[in-house]
Amino acid sequence: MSTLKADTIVAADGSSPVTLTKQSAAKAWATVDAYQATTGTTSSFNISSTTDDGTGLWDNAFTNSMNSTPYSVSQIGTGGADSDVYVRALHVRGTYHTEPTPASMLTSGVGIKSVFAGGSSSYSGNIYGYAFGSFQVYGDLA
Amino acid sequence: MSEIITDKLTGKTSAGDVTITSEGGSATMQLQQGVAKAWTLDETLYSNSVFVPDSFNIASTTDVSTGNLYVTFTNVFSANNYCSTGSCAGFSANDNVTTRYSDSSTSNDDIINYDGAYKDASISYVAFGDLA
Repeated sequence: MSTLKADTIVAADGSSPVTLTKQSAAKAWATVDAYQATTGTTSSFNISSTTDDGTGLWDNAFTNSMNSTPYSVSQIGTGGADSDVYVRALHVRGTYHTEPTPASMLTSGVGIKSVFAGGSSSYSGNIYGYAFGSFQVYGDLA
Repeated sequence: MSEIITDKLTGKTSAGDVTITSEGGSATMQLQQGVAKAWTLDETLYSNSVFVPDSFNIASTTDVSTGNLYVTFTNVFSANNYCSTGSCAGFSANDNVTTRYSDSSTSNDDIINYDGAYKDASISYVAFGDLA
């Protein structure tokens, strides 16, 4: 087996991105912790900050911006540390303050909201905080 | 176009750190951070004849109970703060796939599907983070 050792890989012109044959890398990802008293990310890549924008709403700024909108975001909520009836879904907000439409997405960051998806609670279907959530971003960086 | 044919890429300064340039050319990113560390299209909970199950870095899956799937990684994560997402081929518009943070670990992730009640379905799942 041959091994190539290098710190940086670029295209032959010295500056363009190298092609990952038939593959695409995630450009950002994070696990957001709003279950604890202080909102923040427990782990992340290419996220410079996560800001609490209200109950169940989080603004996530990219360190390196995306090249254009729309881009792809996949997300998931978690049940946190309490009973498993507290199922929470995570949804993408197109910008920090509006509902998602491709035209309203920002290249500089992505908004996430948590919705109480089920269980024996009057909160069902409503925006709800105190949850963990994970998301991943795909597309082209600037 | 030049092409390097090799079986393995290793960072020269740090073995787990290879930098690549962004599509727009104005940023760089660590190749390892952008690569999925585990994924699966799993039919342990519900067999859908349309799908062909497949996986990467998944040693096994367990049907814990209705709507509850446990995945065990072949190569484990370095910490229990990895980033996982998922979805399902469900039976209603209200299906929600979530993870149960308190029951997840560096070697396992606990996935549930819920639409008002726990429901079995084909699950697509992917995880990012640092491997041990």
